[in-house]
Formats: sequence, structure tokens, C-alpha cells
Amino acid sequence: MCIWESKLSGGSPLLEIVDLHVAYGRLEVVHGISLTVEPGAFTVLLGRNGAGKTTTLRAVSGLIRKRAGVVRFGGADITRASPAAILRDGLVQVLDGHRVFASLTVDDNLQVSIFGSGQSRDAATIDSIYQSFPELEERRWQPAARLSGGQQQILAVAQGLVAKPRLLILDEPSAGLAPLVVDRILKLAKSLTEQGTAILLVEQFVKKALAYADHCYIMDHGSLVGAGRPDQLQESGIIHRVYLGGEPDTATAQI
Amino acid sequence: MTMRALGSGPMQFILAALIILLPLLGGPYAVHLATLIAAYWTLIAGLNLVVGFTGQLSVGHVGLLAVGAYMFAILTARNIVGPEVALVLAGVTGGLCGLLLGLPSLRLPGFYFAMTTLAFTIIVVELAVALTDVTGGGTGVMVSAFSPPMDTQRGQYLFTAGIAGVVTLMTVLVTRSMWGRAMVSVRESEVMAASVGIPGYRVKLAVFTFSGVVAGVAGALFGALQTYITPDTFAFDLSLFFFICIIIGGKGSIIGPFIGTVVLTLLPEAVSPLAKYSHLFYGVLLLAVVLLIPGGLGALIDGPRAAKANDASPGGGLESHLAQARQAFGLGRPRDDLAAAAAGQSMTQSIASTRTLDGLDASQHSPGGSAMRTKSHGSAASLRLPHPVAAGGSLEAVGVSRSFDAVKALQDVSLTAQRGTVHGLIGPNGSGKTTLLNILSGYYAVDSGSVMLDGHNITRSPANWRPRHGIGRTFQTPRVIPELTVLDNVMAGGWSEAQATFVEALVSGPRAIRDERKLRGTALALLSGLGLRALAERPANAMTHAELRFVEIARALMHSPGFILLDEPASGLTDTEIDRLGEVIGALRRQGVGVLLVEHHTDLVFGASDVVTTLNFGRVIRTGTPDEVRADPEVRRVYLGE
Amino acid sequence: MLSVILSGIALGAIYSSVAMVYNLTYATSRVLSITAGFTFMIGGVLGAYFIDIAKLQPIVGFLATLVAGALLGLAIEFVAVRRVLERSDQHLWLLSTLAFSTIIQQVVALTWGTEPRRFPRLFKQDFGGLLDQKYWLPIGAVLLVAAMLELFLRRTIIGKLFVAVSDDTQAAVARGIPVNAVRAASYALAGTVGSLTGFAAGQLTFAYFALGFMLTLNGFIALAIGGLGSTAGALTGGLLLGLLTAFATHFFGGAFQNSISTGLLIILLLARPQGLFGVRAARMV
Repeated sequence: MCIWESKLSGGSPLLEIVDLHVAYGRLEVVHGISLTVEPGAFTVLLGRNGAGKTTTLRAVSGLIRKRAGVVRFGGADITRASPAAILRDGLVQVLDGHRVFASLTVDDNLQVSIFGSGQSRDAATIDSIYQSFPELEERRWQPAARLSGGQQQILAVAQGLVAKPRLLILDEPSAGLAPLVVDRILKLAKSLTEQGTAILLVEQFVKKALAYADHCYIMDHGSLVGAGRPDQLQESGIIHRVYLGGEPDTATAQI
Repeated sequence: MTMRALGSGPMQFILAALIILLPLLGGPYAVHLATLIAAYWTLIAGLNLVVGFTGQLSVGHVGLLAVGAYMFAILTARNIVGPEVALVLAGVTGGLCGLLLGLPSLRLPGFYFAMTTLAFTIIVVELAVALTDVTGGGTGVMVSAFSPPMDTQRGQYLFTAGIAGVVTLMTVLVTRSMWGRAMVSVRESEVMAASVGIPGYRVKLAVFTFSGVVAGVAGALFGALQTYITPDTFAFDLSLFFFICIIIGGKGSIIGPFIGTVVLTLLPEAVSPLAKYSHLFYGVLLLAVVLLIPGGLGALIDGPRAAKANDASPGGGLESHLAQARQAFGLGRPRDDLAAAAAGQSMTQSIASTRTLDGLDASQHSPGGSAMRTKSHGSAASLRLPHPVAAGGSLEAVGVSRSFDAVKALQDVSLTAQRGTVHGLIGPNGSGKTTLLNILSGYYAVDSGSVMLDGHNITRSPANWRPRHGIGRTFQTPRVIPELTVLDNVMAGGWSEAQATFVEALVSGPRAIRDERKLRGTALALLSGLGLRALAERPANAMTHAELRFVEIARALMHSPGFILLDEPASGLTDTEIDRLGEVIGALRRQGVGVLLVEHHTDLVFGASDVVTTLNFGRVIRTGTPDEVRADPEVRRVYLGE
Repeated sequence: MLSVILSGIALGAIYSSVAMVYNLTYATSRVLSITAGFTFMIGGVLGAYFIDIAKLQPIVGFLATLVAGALLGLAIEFVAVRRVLERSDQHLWLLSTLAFSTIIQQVVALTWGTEPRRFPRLFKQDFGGLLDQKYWLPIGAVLLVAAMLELFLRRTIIGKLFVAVSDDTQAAVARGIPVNAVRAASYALAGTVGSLTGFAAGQLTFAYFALGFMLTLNGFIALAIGGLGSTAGALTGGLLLGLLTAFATHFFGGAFQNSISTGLLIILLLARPQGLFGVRAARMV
């Protein structure tokens, strides 16, 4: 397979997943995934619904049990670490479906996240968040349930940011959102990589995601079926094959 | 399954007779205790159907016991009727109370139901105190003995034990019938039960009423043994005792709760200085069982077989048998099978990891899977529906909208599935596919729009009505009853084909026997058609994920549906198994079944479907032939974000 | 008539407090624990024991009762809830909390006895009648607890963590919130609330082992009236049930007291399973 590219840089990877297997009861849904994320890199994980992307991400963050495999973060083995320990280590995940605490106010959503991440709960932490997201400050005392879907997603990302992540995992941040909001979130993610935070993104807007990515992996049926730089993947036609089935014709190879 | 493990035929009767006669060897005290056990067991055998088989946690059966005992005492004390007639009337009253209590409460979720039964007990005991004229109030009332020859201690014992034996036999028979499978289905998942047409509420009500009848009879037997009853006799602790006997015995077992009853009744008597600690002991025991062996004693008795099947250690007798059976089926050992992990795990892993590093494309099949591909016989060709399906006709969603809180899951969606065609339904996560499927199968109500079957409006018909009128379905995660055999699981789909009433099933009447024979034949034919015949007698919890998918399909086919709705049937299947699924879908289509296929696996959808509908954000964005849909720019935009 | 209303309100306060105990544990664990009424019963029994038998100062006995209630809550969470929640079996918690309740009840029956025992007077009060402490103590205690509870949930970080776990447990785990500890804390708080109001109402209810199941049931009826999950609902539901019980006793005599309240439950659940003020949950497959 031509699309496999060895690691982008010579340094040690920030996140390293080796032969990860995950099962729900007796049904194994992730069959030996191995991938790496470099420090400060924008990495995208693609694949259609049910391919095992969300399961992989949740296993990495310790939210579901791993059947086998090793996960290393910053060189340390975090395979058996608790979700809280992984979070405090700087591996932060924003779950899919803009999951905020609906009956708490925006401010309280941030407060409990700061508490959970073990950061100090002084005014500075929260103020810096409000500086980055003025729309959250405007609605500071409103229950999160009354925010729009886009605002909830931004709040969810902000909740992740208070933990000062070295790697921020975003699981389908665009699900159910208007295209403008999607661009906003992807740009935000890109700017984070420029400040040194690595991003691992699962996204259904393939084209948009590839525009921002440094490196890309494709999953299907719980296994990796492709990896490489976005331009390499687009040339190979594998994306079309995974998403729409059949052999790529010449027209679709341009995707 | 314990109901089978009881053995069968004359041996059973001889064993039962020996158990009944055994206490007669002892002295009066032994006979007294045995009578008490028999009276308790009469109630517990009925309650066991409610708790152990149907999964309804009633903690209030002491109320029904009290109703029966007071009824018997009052009727006989005033010489209104003879003791034997009074016994029957006690049963009738118990049944009526059960029915009246069950009518409102069996609609409620578990905790609410438990609380309502507790409330009932409190009412009964309070009334027993308050209605002094009738019940004697707090001082209680005398209970007369039965007529000769049942008035001697031994006669009374044999009478009581005989009734207990008859009730036990009834519960054994009913659990082996279609009603038994319906009860267990309701316990495991009311959603699944409804999907095969089982009216959960009616089943629960029938079972609960029966338990009321036998509780009333047990009350009379218990009262006659006590000779004097007061409201204190029926303390809530006694209800807990009944309940604990069943939980300790294990769900879905008859012998387990029986042993529980005998042991827990005798234990405080055997160690009489400790008798005052007995309720504390019951509490500790219940906690220990719930925390340590949730399956109860029944699971321990049945355990070795099921555990072995679960363990699936390579080289075991069962395992090799299953392997042979699977070869016949033409299924590869799926990657999720524990056995695969057990054998050459490290090797497979190293292969897998090298595989991800180089050519990823060709290695999609597990070793077993690719080997099986050559052996696949395409026996789906022999798959026959039990009854032919009427030609033509359609299942339609017309302008259906549905919101959950602020989320508009479906907006003005229309879709027409024709019999004899395969209709694919695709769309990104959260696009509304499963919501639409749940509306078509009756689990969700619509906000507006309608569902039409062959031109008739069926929008308001309940979920369990639809399978009986030709709409079957499967689930994203197969919902089967783990401890039943594959055959029983498939037969559970035959509710609408069975005719015997609950009472006929209790006495194993001719129609009940005929039902069993017919359902068994139908189920075996379907399993043969799917290549699963050899697995029929195996417990479902020993099956692989892929096999369960096909078992679910067989179950849905039991009532010869005109339409079958498949919810992501390919997920978790290997490529070989997906090919197999495609063959099955083709066979159904040829026999005139309309298949609605919700699926992410685009090769399967585009390959098998005549028509494909694409949803996005709860709206239809394109309906057409697979080629049209695949070439549609809007569909490509949705899928690829162009 | 005034005395009927007053005793109705006092009774209602007792039911409300048990309803609040249910709410606290339900929020963080989605478990309706049968032990709810038992924390109340323990408050009365221990209060009577500490003050009358161990001869502690009332205030010391009060504090000791609260500590014991909190410990009992922790034990319930650790033994009967935590391990059961890890399993998928839906109603296992009903069995485990029922078992735990039975154990509490039997231990009390064996050590304290099965007869209701007098609860000591807490304050010197020369006058009795309607202004007697046995009425205003439980009413005051429940109002105080309700107010404190609302403040706690809205103003303190621990309270906000309770709400976060209640809203979305999985998201809370992903945010690093120690969900197990939060759940244990909510059970400890529930145990404290139960034993506090049980202590305050001791002169009205007496220290009696059989109170547990009665209050577990009646507290649940209050919830069924007021709806699950809100303090206001617990107060309203308890008040309505208390007044109804008091008037029923006044007009028909005490003999039918429970029949009327539990009969009400059955009628109510038939008509509105989600409670008078509750919201019907969407049915999901």
C-alpha cells in the first residue's frame, strides 16, 4: 500500500497507540488499531459511521475498557490509567454530541470542569476562557440548556481547554451544527496546534477536516485501512471507497 | 435451562412422589413442617412465575396470602360453605385481588410496581385489623380444618402437598409452552417481546392473576395449618421470605426456588436458638446472593453447562461440536469470538500489527473467515417462509415528523417500501434512520404524519400489534434470551401463530400441545434454511455475535412477515458473513417479503437494494436506485462534506 | 381543626424529608433506594439511644446521630449500590437496597426492640398543645434542610458536582470529576438528612424499628405526587400527603390511615405515572 507514510518527524510521538483492541461484552469492535499523534500536530481520524472511531477515542481516554493493546502518552504508559489521571496528564477529550451539563450555568460548567481537571479555581483561569470566547461570557449566568447547539459545542471545547491539554481529542464537534460554526471550531482547533496543543479530530465533514489536517488515518470495520498525508489519501481514492463503496471512478478520485 | 433439567416422564413423577412421601417417615413435627413448606411452596411456585420468569418484582404476596386465609376462615367459621368449597373461593378471591392489583400496577416500571405491591399488603393488613366484625380485628379468628380424611395431620399434609404438586406441575407445563417463552421474553426485554407480537401487559396480567389464585389457595392451606390467624401472622417479613426464596433459587428456575423454600423454612427450625436471627440472616443472604451470584442457586445448578459454553475453551467437547456446526453454517470464526483470542492470541496479534503497517487492504478476512468462504454452500436458497406472503402492497411513512425535546429527529419524511423489494435507508449518524424504523414498528409515536400498511392507517396501533399484522424487525444489538436455547429463542417469535390460552398452557391442553409441535417444526425449518439447524439445542449465550444476528432474523420470520425491518444487520459481521446476509436478504425478496434495510455498510446496501433513501438532519434528501443515489451530488456532499 | 392541619403539616414534613433523601441518591446514581426511610428511622432510634441511654448531652447526641447517619449512607453506597451499578442488570439495585434495608431493620429489632420507644424532650417547654416542639421541630428541620440543600446545590462546588453527575455521568467522567466519590458523598448527605429529620421528628414518631418500610413507602408516595428530582416537588408532595392523611384520620379514624394514602398512590400512578409535577420522560428503544 503506497499510502503508508512513516512518522512525520524523528522525535518521539506524543500519543502512541499500539495494537488496541476494544470490545463491548463479547463483540469486539476495534481490532488492533495502531496510530501515533506527534506533538502539536493536527491529526484526523476518518471512517464512516460504526467504523469504531468513537470507541477507539473513548478507550484511549480510559472511558471504556481496553481488551488488549498499549497506549502511551508523552512516553508514559497510560493503558490502565483512570480517566481523571489521563485528563490531568493533559490528554483531554471532548465527547461527541455537545455534551454539557444542561442544568448548570455556563459559569458552573466551567467551574466543575476546572475542579475535575485539578487546576486552581482562581479567577484568572476562567477569565482567560471568557477572553477567548466572549459569547460564553455574555451567557455566563444562563443554564447551558438554553444555549444554541453551536454555543454548547463551544462551551464543551472550552470545558476541555480549562484542563490545559497537550492533546485535545475532538469527537465529531460538527455533528448537528451549521457549517459556519463548523468552520469556527476547526479554525479554533488549528490555532490551538499553533500554540503547541496537538489535535486528534474525528469529523464527518471529510473535505473540511482534510483541509486542516497534517496527518490522517482511515478506519473501517474496526481496523485501520489507510494512513498518510491528506493529499496522498485523496489521490489514492481510498476515501471514496470507504464512504460510498465500490471502486472509485475517475471523477470521484478528485475528492 | 432448568425447566428441561428437571428431567421428564415417569422418573419425574416417581421422584416427586418420593419427595412428598418422605416426611411421613418422621414424627408429627416433621409432618407439620412439611405441611408448612407445601403451603409456602404453593404460593412461591406461583410467585416464581411472576418474579423468576416474568421479572416483575412483587414484594407484596403476603397480602394475597392473607386474603385467601381470611376468606377461608370467615366462610368456614360461619358455615356458609364447606371447607373444600371455601378453599376454591379463597383461590377465586386471591385471583380477583391479583387482577385488580395488577391492572394498574403492571403498567408501571419495576420500582413503582414493587412499591404498589407493598402498599397492597399494608392495606390488607390494616383492613384485617380495622374490620373487627368480619376478621376479629387484632385478636384474630379461628380457622376450621378440612373435612375427613384431610382432618388428620397426615391427611392434611397429603392434601396440601398434593395441591402443591399440582401447582408445581402447572408451572412446569406453562413455562414449557409459548406462554413460558413469552414470560421470559418480557423479563429480558419488553421491547424485544413487543417486536415479535407478545402483548407484554396481557402476559404479565395473566401470570399475576394466576399467582393470585394460588396465593389465595395457599392462604387457605396455611390458615388451616395455623388453626388461628391474626393480622400479625401476615407480617411484611413473610413477604420478604417468599421473595428471597425465589431470588436465592435463581431466575427462570423452578427447582432452585423449591430448594430455597425448603432450606430457608427448615434452617431456623434446625438451629432454633438462632431462630430470632432468621430474618437478619435472610437479609444477609439476599445481599450476598445479589452481590456474589446474581443468577441464584439455579445458576449454580445449571451453571457448569452454561459456563462451559461461555468459556468456549478450545478443544472442549462442546466447542468442537460448535465448530462443526459452524462449518455446516458456513460462518467463519468471527474476530470477536473469545476462543479465537484464547488459542493463538499472541500470533494473531503480531500478524495484526504487521498488517496495519503494510498492506491493509487484502487482510480484511480473519483466517477462519476466508477458509469458510470456499465452503459456503449458499443454503439460503432453501430458506422458506412458514406461510407464503401476499403479493404486492406497501408499508408507507407519509409526511412523518417527530421531535425529541428541541431536536427535530424527522421532518416531513415520506418513504414507501414495496413487498418483494429491498429498500435501503442510509444517512449519517443522527439523521433519523433508527427513529423512522422505530416509528414504522410502533415504538415511537409520530408528532404528525401517518404510517400506512397496504393503504390502511396503522399510525396508532401499538408495537406488539404490528408483528401480528406482518411487520417484523431486528435490533442493532441482537436481543435474545441468553439462557434459552437457539430453538426456544426462535420459537419465541411465534406468538401470533400460537392459539392456546394461558389456562390451556397450564394444563397442557390439546391446543397447547399442537402449538408446540407446530412452532417447533416451523422454527427448525427456518433454522435449517439459515444453516443453523445444528445449533438449535445450544444455549444462545454460547453463540457468536454473527449467529445471533441470524437467530434474530429467524425469530422475526416465524410469523411470516410481509415486511421485515433490519436495523444495521451487518454491523459486527465479517465480510463472509455479510455476503451470507446478502443471500438471506435476496431469498426473502424472492419470496415476496419487503425488506427495509437500515445500514452503514454501503457495499451491502447498494448491492442488495432496489431503492435507496438517504436521510440527513431528519429529512429525505434523495430516493432512487442505488446508482442514482450514489451519483447524487447532495448525497456525496453529506457523506464526504464536499 | 387547627390541630388536624398542624399534625398534617408535621406529618407532611416527615414525608417530604424522606422524599428529599430519595432525590439526593437518585440524582447521582439513578437508584431509588429502599433504604430512604431507614435513614430516618435510624435517626430517631440513635437519637433516643444516645440521649436516653448513653446519657449524652442532647447537642452531642444530635451530632453523633448525624455522623452515624452519614456513615450509614456511605455504607449503603459502598455495599448495596456501587457494585450493583457496575452490572448491567437493571433492577438489581432494588434487591440489594431491599436486602440492606432488611438488615438495618433486623439489627435495630434485635438490639433496640420491636416496641416503639419514647424519644427524649430536647428543650424545656412549659406549654404544650399546638405549639409543642414535637410539631415545630420536624417542620422547622425540614424547611431548614430544604433551604440548605438548595443553597448547597446552587452555591457550592460540591453541590454543582452533584448536579453535573446527575445531568450526564459519562461527560462528568470525561471531565475528570470523581464520580464515585461524588456518588458516595451524595449518599452520605442523604444519610445525614434522613437521620437529622428522624432525630427532629423523634418525639412525634417515637423511636420505632418498623418506621423504615412505612416511610420508604410514604416518602415514595410523596415523590409520586410531587414528581421525582425537585426539592419543591418533595415539599409539596409531602405536604399534600400529610394533610390528606391527617384529615382522613380525623374523619375516618386512624384505622384506615395507610389504606387511604396507599390507595391514593395506586390511583395516582394509574392516572399520572410521572407525578403531578414531574415531566414525562421520552420513551426510548
